[in-house]
Amino acid sequence: MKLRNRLLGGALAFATILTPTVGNASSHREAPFITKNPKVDGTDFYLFDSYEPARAGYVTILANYQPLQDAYGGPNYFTLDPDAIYEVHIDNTGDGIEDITFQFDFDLNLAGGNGVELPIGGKNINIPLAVAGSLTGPADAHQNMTETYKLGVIRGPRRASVPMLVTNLTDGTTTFAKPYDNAGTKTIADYTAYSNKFIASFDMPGCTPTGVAAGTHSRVFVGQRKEGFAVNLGQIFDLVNLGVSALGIPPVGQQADLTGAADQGKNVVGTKSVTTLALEVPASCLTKDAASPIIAGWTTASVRQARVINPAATFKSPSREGGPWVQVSRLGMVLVNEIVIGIKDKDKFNGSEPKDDGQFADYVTNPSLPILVEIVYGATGALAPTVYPRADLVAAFLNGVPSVNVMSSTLFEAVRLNTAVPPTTRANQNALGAATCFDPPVSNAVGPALNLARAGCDPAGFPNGRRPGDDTVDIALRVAMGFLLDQNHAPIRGAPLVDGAKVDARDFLTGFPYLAAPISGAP
Amino acid sequence: MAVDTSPGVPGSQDLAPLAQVGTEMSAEAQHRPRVAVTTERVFAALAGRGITLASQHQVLATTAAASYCALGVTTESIAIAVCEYPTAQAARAGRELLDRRYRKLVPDAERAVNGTTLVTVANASSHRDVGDRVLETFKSL
Repeated sequence: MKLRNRLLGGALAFATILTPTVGNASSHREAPFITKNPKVDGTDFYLFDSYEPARAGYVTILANYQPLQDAYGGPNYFTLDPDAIYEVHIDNTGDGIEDITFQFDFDLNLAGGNGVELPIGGKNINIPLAVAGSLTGPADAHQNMTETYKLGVIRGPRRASVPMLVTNLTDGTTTFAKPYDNAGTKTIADYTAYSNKFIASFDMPGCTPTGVAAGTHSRVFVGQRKEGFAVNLGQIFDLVNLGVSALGIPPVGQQADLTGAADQGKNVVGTKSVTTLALEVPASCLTKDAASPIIAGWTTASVRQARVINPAATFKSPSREGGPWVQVSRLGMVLVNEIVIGIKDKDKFNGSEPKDDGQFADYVTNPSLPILVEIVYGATGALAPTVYPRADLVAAFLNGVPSVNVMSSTLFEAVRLNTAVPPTTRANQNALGAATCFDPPVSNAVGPALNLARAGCDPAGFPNGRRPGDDTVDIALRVAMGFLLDQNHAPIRGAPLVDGAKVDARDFLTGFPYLAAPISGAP
Repeated sequence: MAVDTSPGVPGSQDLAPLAQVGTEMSAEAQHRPRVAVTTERVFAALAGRGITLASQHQVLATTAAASYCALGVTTESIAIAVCEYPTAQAARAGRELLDRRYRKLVPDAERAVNGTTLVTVANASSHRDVGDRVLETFKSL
């Protein structure tokens, strides 16, 4: 079912025209417009060297969409938008323009075209549920509504050519199946075993990989996963309300302690799920060449510019979509659009491309979050960094970390990964990632010095890429408060700031797709 | 108690998007206790001792269980937080709270209570003389 008719039906009564300047968002409902379009709301983006045993040489990419899914969210659960395209972009030249795009195009169908029907009182009646019995794997006869997708690869600018469709090595077609969400144990007795059957292999068109084990292939999976991002969302967005209450100082334990333990049981999204688009591709198929091992990645979702609502909606035609693709969600580095970009520009950011990020530079060079922290905690003597523009944040968010993952002098926001840095095994990962690998800077002119010998140094972690087990909230808090600056200009640069929500690689799977199975909708 | 006619500490200029904190701080500014050693008096005394503030603005007093607080920053980036309390006992309790709860946030903080006012000096390790002068001046008021 595709509803992307370029011609708009004149008989349809209501029309909503989406102009190119109106964008959506990414990151957990962070921009005003995206809250109206949860199916295309990107929440997190991960990019890292695969650390699953026997998968050396591969890079894993995870793009999460549809935030804050509750396990009981039936009967339709969380299908992706068949009228949107979801993309992962890789820039391997450092110009902020995608060189490789993976495009996911979803489709939603009823079994047999009209759905499962039951004979009731002499009439065949269409059932109201998406499943008609227990499910065990793809193409299950009990599935009343099926969700499939095609995966295409585009080289060069994303709209300059038609995607080269990827072949599913399981059946030789270009169609991949998406598992049903975790409705409950009666519908799906063993969700992990069930969903693992939807991990498919493919070979990336136009690439002969090197550096990977013979006989191995790229992999793809799209499906519901347990939310991997951990954040004390309520207190963070309640004006960094950590240890301080509008009604007075709360008892210890009631709110997270800003400098307390990394795990204070304050992860408020741990019972939620997201929909993950997961890819695992040879690094050699993503990099420009062997001498250029650094890549930058981000994810976007786009919809057609015009949507006309069908007043006589059918399953196949609830609306008609037409016009060019308009990007409505963009996500690279964690938390950028949530706590860096000003609210008036959040939708604009989601419609923007990295090559144009100069327009957002002031939010990075003159950030508001540290001042908010100073206002809330200034009574303790805590000061925000005093140096502007914040060149340290430009490096961290827009240019890469010197000696680690700088690609070029071009400033743009994306997750940068030096694929030549060997992955750290799951057991040995440090949640503070590569942030643990720097000596305090003697001066801002010199900047922080990379010291791989530092205790706990984990150069394969954020901000060198991002793994599920990287505690990006704690890292971002510390970097915002001047971790990369000298003491004179960032008095609390060394404070062990935390939001009290634990992130740990050991809480995730040992291999692809790394994010854990979602919580069951019913016991 | 003499009427303090010195200019007030300016409110933060960064509060526009921070409605909740702004509301709370506005309430704090409107309900300041009558204290002998006001924030303005402290900052004025410091200026009289040659300690120049590069900036000063109101900060959230709730954090220190205080009624009203302001933060001054010297040209050497030394933080001088002044908090006003309704009673001397509350001021001492505020000091104890800050020492206990925020020790890891600002490990070099030094604090002193004068009546119902609490002063915190931080980031002064490279300018010990200035930090000492701040505390001496405050205690002398």
